Amino acid sequence: MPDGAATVQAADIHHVWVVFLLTAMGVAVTVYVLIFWSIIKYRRRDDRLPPQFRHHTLAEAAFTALPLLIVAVLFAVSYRAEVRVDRLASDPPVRIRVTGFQWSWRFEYAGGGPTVTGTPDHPPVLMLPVGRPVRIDITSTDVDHTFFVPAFLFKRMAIPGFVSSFDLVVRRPGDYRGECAEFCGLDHAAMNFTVSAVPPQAFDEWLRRGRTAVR
Amino acid sequence: MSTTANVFLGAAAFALIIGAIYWFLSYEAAGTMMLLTMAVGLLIATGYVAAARRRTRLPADVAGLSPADEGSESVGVFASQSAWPALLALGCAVGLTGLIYGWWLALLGALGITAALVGLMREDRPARSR
Amino acid sequence: MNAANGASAAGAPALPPPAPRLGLLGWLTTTNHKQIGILYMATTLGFFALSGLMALVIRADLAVPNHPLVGRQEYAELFTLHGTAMIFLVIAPFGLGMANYILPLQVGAPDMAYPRLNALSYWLFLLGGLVVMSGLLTRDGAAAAGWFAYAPLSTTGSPGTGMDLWCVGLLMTSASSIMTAINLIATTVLYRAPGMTMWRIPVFCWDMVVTSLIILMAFPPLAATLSLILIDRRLGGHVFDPTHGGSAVVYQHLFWFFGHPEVYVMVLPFFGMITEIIPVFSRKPVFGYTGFVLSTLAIAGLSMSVWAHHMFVTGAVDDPFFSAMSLLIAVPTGIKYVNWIGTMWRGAIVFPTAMLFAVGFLLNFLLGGVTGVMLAAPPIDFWTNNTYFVVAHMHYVLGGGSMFAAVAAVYYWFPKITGVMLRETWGRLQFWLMFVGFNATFWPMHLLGLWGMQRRIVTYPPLPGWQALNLVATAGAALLGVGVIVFLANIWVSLRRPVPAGADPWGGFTLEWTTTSPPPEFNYEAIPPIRSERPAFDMRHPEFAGGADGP
Repeated sequence: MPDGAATVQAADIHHVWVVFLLTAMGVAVTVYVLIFWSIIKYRRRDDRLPPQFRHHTLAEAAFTALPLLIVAVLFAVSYRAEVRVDRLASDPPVRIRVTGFQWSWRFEYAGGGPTVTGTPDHPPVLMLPVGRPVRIDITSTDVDHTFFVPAFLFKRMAIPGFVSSFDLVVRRPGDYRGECAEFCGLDHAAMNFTVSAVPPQAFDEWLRRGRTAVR
Repeated sequence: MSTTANVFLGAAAFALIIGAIYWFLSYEAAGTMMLLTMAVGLLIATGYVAAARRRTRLPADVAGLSPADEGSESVGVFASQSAWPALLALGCAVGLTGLIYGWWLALLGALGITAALVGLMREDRPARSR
Repeated sequence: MNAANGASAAGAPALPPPAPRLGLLGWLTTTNHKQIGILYMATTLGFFALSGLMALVIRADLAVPNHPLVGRQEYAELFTLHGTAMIFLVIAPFGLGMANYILPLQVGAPDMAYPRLNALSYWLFLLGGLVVMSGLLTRDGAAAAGWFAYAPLSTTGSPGTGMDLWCVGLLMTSASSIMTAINLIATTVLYRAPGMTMWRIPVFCWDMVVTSLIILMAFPPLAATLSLILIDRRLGGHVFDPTHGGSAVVYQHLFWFFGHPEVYVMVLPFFGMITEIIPVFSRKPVFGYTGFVLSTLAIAGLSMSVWAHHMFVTGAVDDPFFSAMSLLIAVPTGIKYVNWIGTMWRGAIVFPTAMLFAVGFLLNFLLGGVTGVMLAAPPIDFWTNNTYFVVAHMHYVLGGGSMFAAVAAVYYWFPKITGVMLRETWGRLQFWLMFVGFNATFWPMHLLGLWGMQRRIVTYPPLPGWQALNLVATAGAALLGVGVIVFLANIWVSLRRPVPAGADPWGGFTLEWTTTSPPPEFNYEAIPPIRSERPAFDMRHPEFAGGADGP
């Protein structure tokens, strides 16, 4: 199970997840208990008609106000985190243009950096420095795709004719699985990539060597 | 206003308000257009229902009435058999697939649709006494 | 059975006259709402079986990693048609079909307001569905762009006529739904029996009126979107083509403006059915009728304002607006649970199969509801969108929810429709098979999604945990399939060796239980006085008539 420690953004997302999960469990358990209580305690035992009440104003009001309150708090938690996740740094040291196409990815590093293009048989590797903000500008050249790194708890759609931007700050070095998460045709399942997060010096070295290749 | 007219009016008002909020939050044209046209459509329905209901009184809406009181009133004339709906649907299916496979099919479908519509309308005409 | 049947007291109608058997021509030309309702429900059962088989192939394909059973193109057609069929040809039409049969009866009308339009709706639905499926017979195969057919994949990315047939067929079914919506609203407004004010109609009828309202608001944009796809594909259009000034983002707005309200079209009728069943088998009136109606109306309005929560990962929409509206819609949906539990509270509950499935609905839908709230938070959606977490959510609300409610409704109204009871022992077996099978299939998908398994992949690598959970899901699906077979067998056996039901086997509350099973052609010889939403109950218990809480 991803733990939200891979990137700064993932930590915010994971926090929201925990809050919502605990709330959901609380609500669900309460309702399950009420349902099971009803079907056990209020089984028909004789032919008498039970009390035929249609209202209980206090209960109805309370069970309207309470969910409203819960939802308001949930929105606040989500909104705060989303602002942080969506935030774009003013001058990111690394800019990468990610292009999805049928059926792989191209990563173009700004400032004369390398271009890495993959194929379904040779998935590309996205090199990232640990600890530095990375700006990704993402688009597509044909149909919709989605750039998804499960360990980062994050995805963004690659839409033809539209460029979308987001920041990533990796915290934990390692190799992470990447997938396409928007059905895009025959080889949708093969449109994978690897994110390789390395210490900043190793990244600078790789950038300097400026490889332009199909890996 | 009747309950029905109120439902339509409420929906129209909701669409209008949400459409306005959405526009000023996003300046996104497609969603705003859809919300506003939805509001307009619902307003038309509201107006029609409100105007129509002002002219007629439904026994259904009189809380104290019973079906037995209105027993002799004719509720309406309801058709019981008709071949034209199935034929009209067939004409539509053929005609629309003509968009894909060729104008001759669309023509065939159009003929079928026309025949079925004529048939439906003739069924409606009151029988003339000889 | 007769201990609960208070209606055999004075006023019970005589046995129905033997109904003439309709020949093929009779079924082709009928305009009677009852026969059309039966046609709808039988047809949806057929599409359900077909779509269910497709799902079983999908699950078989995914049972083992790196071991697809079908080709990539076939797999894409399978998941596209499975989704398309379940959404457009099964769940929504079943709700409309049941409404066709039951709503006129429940408001005391002799038929639907426009009987021939009603018949047209059915034939457009059947033929439209067949046109969609006919893609399977074409050289390039059926539509394979997913049930939401994102452009440009569905326009420039899908050569072959299967996609065109998909659009044309769905144009027909959309017209069908719009016509039925008009009919249902008109029938409810114009043909209620005297004394049946709008605030005395059964909750099921309110839910159908609101469903119809949503259809009127949401289906025209669908028809427009389908037409635009055809224009891009066939008439040289570039509406969704970014290389010529079009926009792929606009496609998503247009589609989801329809697509989200559509899910409420697929849920509200079933809320209504559950709200008919629980009061009868708890022997209490609906708790909070007014609140129920108002919250349903709130759902209708809000459902039109949340569409872009399907677009959070595009980076192209105002996430907080849609997040707020989506979280808000959880509130009126939650109020329904107050209504249902409040109805059971201090009641006298019995558990025929219909009630078993109703309780199953309550338990399953709840899980789908809370995962829906999670998905309404953009940060969580960034993680889980388009993964099996969403597949789990949608199947819990539509399968665990609507499907279970549909089965409950069949067990409840089958006696009224056919005059014959369904076997209870078979029903119980079916319930446990389906409840265990359903949860075994879809609960693991929550985890699969969180672990990163994305949707619509023909196969997957042997990542830790993915294999075991997929295998469990496939096993669950097989169990679910067995449950469906038991259902079909029950219907067959019950019709073959009938046990007569009588007018009111359950001690029902609403008008349809005061007429014969099945009802005569124009439904009622005589309608009892209507003083509350429970005219049949009031007839048996005059001390409670008019909505009094007690004598």
